Amino acid sequence: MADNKKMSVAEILAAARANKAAGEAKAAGEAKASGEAKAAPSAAASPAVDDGADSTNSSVTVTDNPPATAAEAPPAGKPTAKPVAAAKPKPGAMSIADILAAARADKGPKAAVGEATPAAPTVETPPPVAAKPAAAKPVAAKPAAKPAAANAEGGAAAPKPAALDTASILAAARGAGVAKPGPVSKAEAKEKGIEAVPAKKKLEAPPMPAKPEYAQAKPTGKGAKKGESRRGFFASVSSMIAGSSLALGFTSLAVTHLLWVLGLARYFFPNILTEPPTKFKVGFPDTLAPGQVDERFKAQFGVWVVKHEYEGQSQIFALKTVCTHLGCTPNWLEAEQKFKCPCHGSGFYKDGVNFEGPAPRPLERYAIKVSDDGQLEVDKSRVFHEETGQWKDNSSFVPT
Amino acid sequence: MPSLSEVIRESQIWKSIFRHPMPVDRRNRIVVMLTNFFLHLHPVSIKKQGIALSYTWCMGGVTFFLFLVETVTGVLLMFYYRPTLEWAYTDILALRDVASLGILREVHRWGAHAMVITVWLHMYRVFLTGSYKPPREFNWVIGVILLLLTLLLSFTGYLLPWDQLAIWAITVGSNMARAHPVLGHEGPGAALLTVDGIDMITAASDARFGLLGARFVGEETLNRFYILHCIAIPLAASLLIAIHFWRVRKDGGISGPL
Repeated sequence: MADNKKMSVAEILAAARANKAAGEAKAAGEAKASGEAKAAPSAAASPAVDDGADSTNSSVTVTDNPPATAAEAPPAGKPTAKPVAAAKPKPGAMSIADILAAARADKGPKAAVGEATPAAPTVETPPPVAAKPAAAKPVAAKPAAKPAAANAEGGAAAPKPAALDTASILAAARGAGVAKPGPVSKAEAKEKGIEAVPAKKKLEAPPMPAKPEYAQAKPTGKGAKKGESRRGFFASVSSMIAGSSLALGFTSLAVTHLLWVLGLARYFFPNILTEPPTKFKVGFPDTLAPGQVDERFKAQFGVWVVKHEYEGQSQIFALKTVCTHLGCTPNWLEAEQKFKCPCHGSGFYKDGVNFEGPAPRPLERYAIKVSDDGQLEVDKSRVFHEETGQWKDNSSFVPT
Repeated sequence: MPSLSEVIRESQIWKSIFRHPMPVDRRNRIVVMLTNFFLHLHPVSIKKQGIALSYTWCMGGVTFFLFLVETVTGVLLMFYYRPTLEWAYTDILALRDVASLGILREVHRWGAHAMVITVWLHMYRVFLTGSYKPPREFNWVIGVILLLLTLLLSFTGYLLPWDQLAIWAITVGSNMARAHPVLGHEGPGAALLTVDGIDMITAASDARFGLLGARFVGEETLNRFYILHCIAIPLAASLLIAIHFWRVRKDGGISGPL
């Protein structure tokens, strides 16, 4: 993962931890350890797998890592950007990129940096934290462990570092002094005696800016600010009703739509009917024989003129040619002396009373009378139902 | 020496119609899809489960296909059909016996039957797969309205041949409207809407009258049903179909996980 020119992030982290642990660097004893420290991270970094070392606490044993000079591992040493090395990073507010660049530049020149003041390494070799501190930590812990092993042999024992978590190291590099505590588990917090989740600062919302003039609620009434507004009389009147030009617009739209829908509904009911007239003459009463069903007007007017008895009285009446079941036109069967509907088989007697099939009630009668010229006149605008006793009405028959 | 197809494909005419060459990779395919009026109505890609026939049955797609068939055959039939008492019946007979490709009339009729069947099967499938559950519940409502429009198309189209079957079927069917409460002149409550002693709901002013355009099934009814069948209901159905498809896409594509 790391090419020869650059130190891997793991290496940098390890070196930084070592740096923190040991404090001031001594050039001599650490050269050997540095070599091993360099080798170990390379070996550790190559698998690039997270290891068993889970928390930074395990790296506590790494305490005696070589100091800053270890960071200047010779083999990797190839001078990286000189300007970066030359430009010492500012102590405060360093971005991670800066830290990384500084650390890499620091590794470049072998001996040059070695003579750097103790302060410089402290600042220049802060552990650059990888983009994923979580990933870097275990990786860093492992190489850190290896140098620890190496150093244990070396015999140099360094004091235990104050804090090895990433946040602290970063803070130290940025020179923040007291590190802003990173995330800690509740258990850790209890140990350390700090708050696990620091209380959030309440954000003070800045006050709302003043409303621009166009958003102000307009004063209602014609008399208000006549001089300022350029709206006419009508607009100011309608604003009394609607409240604003937007509301006025939508109100008028809704009203227009409503009127349109109502007009449309009315549109569907035609005013002109092309039917034959409802009142028509059907001949003289004498031309009808008793018991005769006159079919001459069935096709054009939809009526049978019948001379028959009903409730003991001989009558002439006009039957509507519509079956009372579902509205088909029955046929008069002269041979069987009955009206028979072809649709579903409803049957009616000559006087119109239903007796078979699904018809629920007798055929209906039209109003009939003798007109001035003596002819029978049928009026289709009035119907009479037998089942409600309307056949007793004089308008429904002509007595003979 | 360029081949003929190359000459054609490099010509100005071709390039003005088809702006992009045949796609060779996914990006080209997307470009072609998105810059084509007809193709852009489809999704660029669909999930494999969307074509699992045993799950989707494809009845919705078949219904839409039949709708297109009905539209095309219907428009063609309009060239030889006049919706008047004098000509309606004769024109249908002429289409059947005399016109070339008069089989169109039968295709139109069979397509209508098939469309009603597939609409029901589609509805059944959607119900079985639970594809009416949130967030798709309003799409189900749109589908029900489309079902009603399909049945209305069948109802109005049935009258147009103007034979005995047609006239009596519509008579019987529309007679139901006169028994409607309040809105039908023979239904309960018809006398409720009386203003100043004048009945508002009579045989000449009830819902049945508005549907038929007259007091009985006659020439006005034929004209009215012709317009409903050919223009009004298809327009409404097209709009709802577009919304129906849009909602399916936005809810995750056809036969997507619930």
